[in-house]
Amino acid sequence: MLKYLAGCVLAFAPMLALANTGVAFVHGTSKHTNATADYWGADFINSVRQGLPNQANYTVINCDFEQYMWDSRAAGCAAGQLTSFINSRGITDLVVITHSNGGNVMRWIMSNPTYDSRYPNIINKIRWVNALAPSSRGTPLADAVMAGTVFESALGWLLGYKNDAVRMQQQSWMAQYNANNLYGTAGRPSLPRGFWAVVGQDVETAIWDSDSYCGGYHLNLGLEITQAWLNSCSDGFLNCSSQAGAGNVWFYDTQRTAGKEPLSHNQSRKKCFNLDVILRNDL
Amino acid sequence: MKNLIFVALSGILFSPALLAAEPHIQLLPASGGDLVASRVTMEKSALAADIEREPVDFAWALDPSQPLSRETPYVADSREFWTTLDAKQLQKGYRFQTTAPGALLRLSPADNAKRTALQLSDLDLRIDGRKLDATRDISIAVDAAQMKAAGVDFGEGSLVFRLAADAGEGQLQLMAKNAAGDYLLHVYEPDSPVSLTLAADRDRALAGDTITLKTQWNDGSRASRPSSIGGVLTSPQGHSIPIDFTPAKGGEYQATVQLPADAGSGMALWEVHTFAVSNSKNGAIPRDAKTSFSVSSPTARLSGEAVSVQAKSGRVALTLPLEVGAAGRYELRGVLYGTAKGGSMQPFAIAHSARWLEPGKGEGITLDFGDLAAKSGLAAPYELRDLSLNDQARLGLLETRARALRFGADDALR
Repeated sequence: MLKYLAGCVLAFAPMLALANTGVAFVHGTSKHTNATADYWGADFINSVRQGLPNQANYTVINCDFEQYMWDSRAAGCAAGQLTSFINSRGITDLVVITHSNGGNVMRWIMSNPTYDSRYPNIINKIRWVNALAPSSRGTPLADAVMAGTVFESALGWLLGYKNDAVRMQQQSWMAQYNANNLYGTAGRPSLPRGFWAVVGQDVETAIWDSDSYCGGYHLNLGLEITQAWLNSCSDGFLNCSSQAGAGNVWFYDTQRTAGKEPLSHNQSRKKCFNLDVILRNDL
Repeated sequence: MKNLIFVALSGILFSPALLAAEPHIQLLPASGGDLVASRVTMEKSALAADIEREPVDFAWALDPSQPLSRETPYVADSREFWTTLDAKQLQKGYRFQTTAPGALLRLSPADNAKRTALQLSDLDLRIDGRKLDATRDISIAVDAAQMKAAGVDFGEGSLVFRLAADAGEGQLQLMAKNAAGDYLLHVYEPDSPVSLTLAADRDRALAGDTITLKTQWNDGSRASRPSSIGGVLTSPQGHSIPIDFTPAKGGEYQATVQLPADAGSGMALWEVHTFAVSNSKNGAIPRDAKTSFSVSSPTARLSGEAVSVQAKSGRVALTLPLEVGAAGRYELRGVLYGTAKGGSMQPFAIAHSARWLEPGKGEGITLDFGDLAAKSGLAAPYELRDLSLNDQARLGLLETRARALRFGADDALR
């Protein structure tokens, strides 16, 4: 409801009547050169962008989000691609759709507008960020991966774990960043633009249930196992409390999805259970 | 309507446009939780070439009805442990105590060596001497590829499995006759009543500061003493400092650690790792806990000189002088509070400002809140709170002030 109130206010703003709306897709923890095919799926992207007055006004970010969020290869790369998109398409009204750690990268940009002279223009163009399953408060799974490296490093097994984005998403690390470097969590200043979270609450892997196959059965099976590290409310990778930890909750999956299906962490970036249509209608 | 007129008049009477000229005001004294440097350091290491050089200012309005507060530092609450096992230990059988049904175990070979990876069928698992049956007593088992597909990279050759609830709890023996090389064992008991908590007294520090750590062994709701406890502090660069905990009140253990005076800045965090073991007649119950904090080298600080306050024509801008030890890009950020009709202070605007500064004293950075004070409907006196100074070139948090400045009322001008 809050989001629609915000939308109504914007709808009556004279500027929006002349707006040139665009949408940007920002992937999660991984390094991409073709996130359309390798992360989101072209069917998802193409479905969402149908909501644009000009369907060519979209961009899919391809960066190295295995780095810390502030790294030039992460937020710096995203800022470069967003700036090019805004400038080349004349975008004045930008909706950003993030998944997982992509939400942290966008929160870094919006929380640290002076860190890079490109950030203010990006922030000023953003209408809001739709954050699909954002890892705003980290995940115990990152701790599970990283804690072992103390022992492994001591034995010379590994000279440090190379994925700094995983390191960053340990729970105590995200708590430190949320308290000092990022905005939008409880008690902290709000972000300069809305950050609306979509929260996945469960993983279904029944072999007889076709819903379990959306997004890839074997991926969902892995998430069913990782749930053992998480609370009863989780999408298999993140606790609901992490996904809802910054900005506002737009909706919990079953409130809006077709058939009231839950969205696993894999499904919240795929064309599953009408998620694409919900996002399309929000543009 | 009357209320509307009153509110409008209040805004005019106390608006920044009508504030007396307030050229310079001293910062409020630092409070207990503030980060304040007693010196500035000169950093000679080269800065990255891609550091931003352009001056940038940015401010936005906050909702005055949303109060701001500082979170208490993170408290780790662990029901897990890690240990390294060599082939001989596994061939002979490694024993430990589980404290609840449903333990999760991960066994990873050294060096991600697939050739020494173990399958579930390689393991002989026993609880209190009873041999476990893989189909009945293991609820789920996956390999590294399946975990990686789920986004969790435990390394090549890892085996992850969970004991079924019906398998119960007790002394668990893990044996693999064909073990070769070294392994990392990670055990997590999500439903265990036994946990180890750990917290640092703050989540940010300056080089040379002292950090206080507290840890506690909990058995259910009861604090108790483990048989042994220790820890290590690790820096992002890989340095480590041993931690000696001493018993404190209420079952707690406490330690103080002096950070190196030459520690550099960075947003990669320092980590505290604590390891504790409680020995029972059925075997050892280990727990490891971890938390983290940032450490920064004080390359600059607020100089202590008076703040220049410009509040006229509906605009507020505050210039805070700095003392800079090392050339770099420095950022100030702060939240502006105003006085509501009932007298309470409410946040209404936040401003950030970054500039490249050379070493020296007196040059300032201006926080420009634009006309947000006039638009807020709040009146004087104003307060600058949640002020922080950041070194953007080296990613250091150098100074914080919960309450930094009060202005716009007669008593603040004395």
